[in-house]
Amino acid sequence: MSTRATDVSETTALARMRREFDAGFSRIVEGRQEDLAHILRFRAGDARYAVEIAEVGEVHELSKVTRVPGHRQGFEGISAVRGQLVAVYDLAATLGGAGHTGHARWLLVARSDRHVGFSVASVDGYLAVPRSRLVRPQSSDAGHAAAHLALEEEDGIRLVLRFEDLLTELRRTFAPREAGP
Amino acid sequence: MSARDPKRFYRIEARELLDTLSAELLRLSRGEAPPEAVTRLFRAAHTLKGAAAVVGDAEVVELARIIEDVLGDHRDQGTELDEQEISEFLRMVDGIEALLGADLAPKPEPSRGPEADRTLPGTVAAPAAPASDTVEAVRIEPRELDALTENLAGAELQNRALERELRELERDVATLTALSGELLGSLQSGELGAELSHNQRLRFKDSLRDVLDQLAKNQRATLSRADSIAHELRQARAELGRLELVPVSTLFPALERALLVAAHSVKKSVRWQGIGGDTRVDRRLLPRIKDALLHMVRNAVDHGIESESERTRAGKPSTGTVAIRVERRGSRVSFSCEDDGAGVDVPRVRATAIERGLVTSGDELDEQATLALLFRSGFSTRGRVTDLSGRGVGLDVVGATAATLLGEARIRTERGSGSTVELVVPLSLSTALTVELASDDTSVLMPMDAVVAIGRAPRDAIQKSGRGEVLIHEAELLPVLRLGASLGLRTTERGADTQLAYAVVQVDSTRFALLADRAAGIREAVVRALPWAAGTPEGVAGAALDVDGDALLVLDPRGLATILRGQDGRALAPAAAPEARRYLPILVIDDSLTTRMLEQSILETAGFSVEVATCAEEGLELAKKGNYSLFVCDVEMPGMNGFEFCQITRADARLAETSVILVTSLGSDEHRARGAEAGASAYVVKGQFEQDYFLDRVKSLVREDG
Repeated sequence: MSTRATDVSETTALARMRREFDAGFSRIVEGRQEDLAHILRFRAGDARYAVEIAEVGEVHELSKVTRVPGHRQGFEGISAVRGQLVAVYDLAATLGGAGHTGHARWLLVARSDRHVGFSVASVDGYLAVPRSRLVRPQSSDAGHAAAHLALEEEDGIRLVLRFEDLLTELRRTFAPREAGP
Repeated sequence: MSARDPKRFYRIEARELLDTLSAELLRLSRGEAPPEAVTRLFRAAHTLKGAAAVVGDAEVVELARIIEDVLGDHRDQGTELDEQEISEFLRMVDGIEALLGADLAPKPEPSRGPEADRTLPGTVAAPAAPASDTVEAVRIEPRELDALTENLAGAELQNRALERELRELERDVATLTALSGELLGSLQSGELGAELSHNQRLRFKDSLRDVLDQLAKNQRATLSRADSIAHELRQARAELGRLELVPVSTLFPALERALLVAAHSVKKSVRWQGIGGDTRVDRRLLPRIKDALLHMVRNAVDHGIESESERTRAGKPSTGTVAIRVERRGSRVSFSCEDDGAGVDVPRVRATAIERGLVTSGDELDEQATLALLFRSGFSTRGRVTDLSGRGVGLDVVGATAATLLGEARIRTERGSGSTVELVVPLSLSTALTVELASDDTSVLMPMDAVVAIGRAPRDAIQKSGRGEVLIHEAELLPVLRLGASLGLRTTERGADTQLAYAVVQVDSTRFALLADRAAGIREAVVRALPWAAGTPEGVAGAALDVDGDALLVLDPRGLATILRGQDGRALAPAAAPEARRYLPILVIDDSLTTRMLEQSILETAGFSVEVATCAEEGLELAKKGNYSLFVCDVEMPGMNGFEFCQITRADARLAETSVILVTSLGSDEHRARGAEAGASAYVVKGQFEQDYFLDRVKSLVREDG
């Protein structure tokens, strides 16, 4: 009898799970109509950041970084990513905030320019959030012009960076200063 | 394409320039353009303006001039174009395209082969049989070849990693076999598996042996397969290498066109010659040197060749000659642009440089150094800007090309006879033979083209000399550049008892020793440009990938020479301060080669002439025969020591007129007192050796000639 009772119970549970599974495809997810921001969450230095996934070309575990002469804020050197040379900038130091922690383990390669990558301490994960949750950061939180949005999380604020702004700033520092005749 | 169509060459060139302008502007508008885009745009606009002026296309001249002027301001001020300017320029490019008409791209015609020789009249009438521009055709294909090369490089990298892992597997299999042998021995002796039946033990042994045999067999088969793949890859690389080589003659038509356009522009009669066009070079080299060669040709016509009347007055043929000569020199290729024109007015170049504040009137520049100024950006001896020249865009392109390609640019000239501008670059851009040098945790690659020797020296063989360091290689005193410090990288050479490695690097007539912990081998490397965001650090030509796929810096010998000049002005400075020449020679007596050469170097650099002796006896003999302004003598030497030399010379009436400086490692008060007692005028301790102090002592004691 006990076996029979178990069979019935399992059958019922399976039927319920199947119904829920099937319903998952037909039910309109709450909030689905809302514009979502797809963000990659990570840590750089002691702070939490995010970037829209559309701005990220590749994410790699940071391999060897070869030092290159020169003193540019945050510039660590070059690294080879699948046979391509990438200039590596420590994101925390580039933002001028917490500075280089020496714990950068991941490299986020910019999508619009695969020759530039930002090293970060850890990657927390990917998240799709309603854009309405992204707000303008208070100036005291932002710290850098590239931090154009902020996401309020349970335990604090996560700044959303715009890589394009960082690249533009970098390009500006490399603008030619050739003396004319 | 008839001979009566004066615009045919102009249209071909204009198409190229418009393509460049359009592509760069669009990249700028997308924010993808590299920092040097403005300079490239400026050059394209400048060249377009010149070409349009030649054929009298005033509207295009005007549009190109507007673009050029605005870009010139941006270039000079280091500012970026704003969106409105980019948009306006794109509109103007469209406008120029419309002005040029629909038949912009004439069909290419067959090449005339590697050797070409033709007289170009200084009128609109152009020669028959215009040249094809097969470089254009190659431009389409390279992308596919690049992709193939990149994929092949990736496969080679993967296969090397596979081979490495298989070797590790081989070691693991050997270890496993040894362990299993021990295990089987223990089973056999009953030390292990006593609880198992005889049949169970047999089955276990058989199974283990089968597994190990199979493992070893698979491992051998995989190794053999990896060897086969490596062989196939090598063959593919060789085949690809053959595809990568193209004859230089493919560039000749474009150069000839440029010569024609320039000659017509300045109303000169010029004959074109292309020599050595069958030389085959890396296909990627041609587009990268094309601009430089075009500027060399235009420069020769505009600045070199005289007008017909001037040539006739000078007793020369009324038609000038401009030749591009291509010669292979080992792993390098030389492109010379030779003209039989007026030659460079070197004093005028110097005067212009002073006027522009590039040098001061006090700077001593020999002819070569003065001519090298012509490779500087923005340098022009033209008093005013014309449609063809005067913007300082020209030979600076040649200089920049040489620098980018790890090559050399130089000018030889003879007033009245002509000039030769030479660009020497590596034959192949795909690979370069390099030596790997390592210090601490930093490894770099130095192109072997610039290395004349690799050696090892004890750490204490490196001597301090003024602001820098020196070492002796093959009886030659070489300034030293330390690998880490020179590149601003934090590296340290190891302990004092370690032998250091050095590469003797030659750049033009300058030699120096690049010092590192060790030389880690010689190998071919695929040299790539650094990413733009890594900057263009002095002394670095690019980077290559090592066998693990990690990046290694590839050094630029010429940049290192510049660093050395900055670090140690004395080391590479030309010798001879003229005011010091009034002195008799100084006799340096020391049994140590290092000390002799160090002192000789310091004294000669300060303008003194120097003779040397390797022991006090030889020194005394020379002193008695010759006439010296000063004796600089070591103390501790085999045979007669420095104190004795001092006493003997002080006792000789003639020799006593010449002072003695004792240079020794004996620094105690007692030794100093003994030196003074022997009659030494100064006592310099080697451990505290300072160039300035030493020279001060020398200058205060030298005897003037006569």
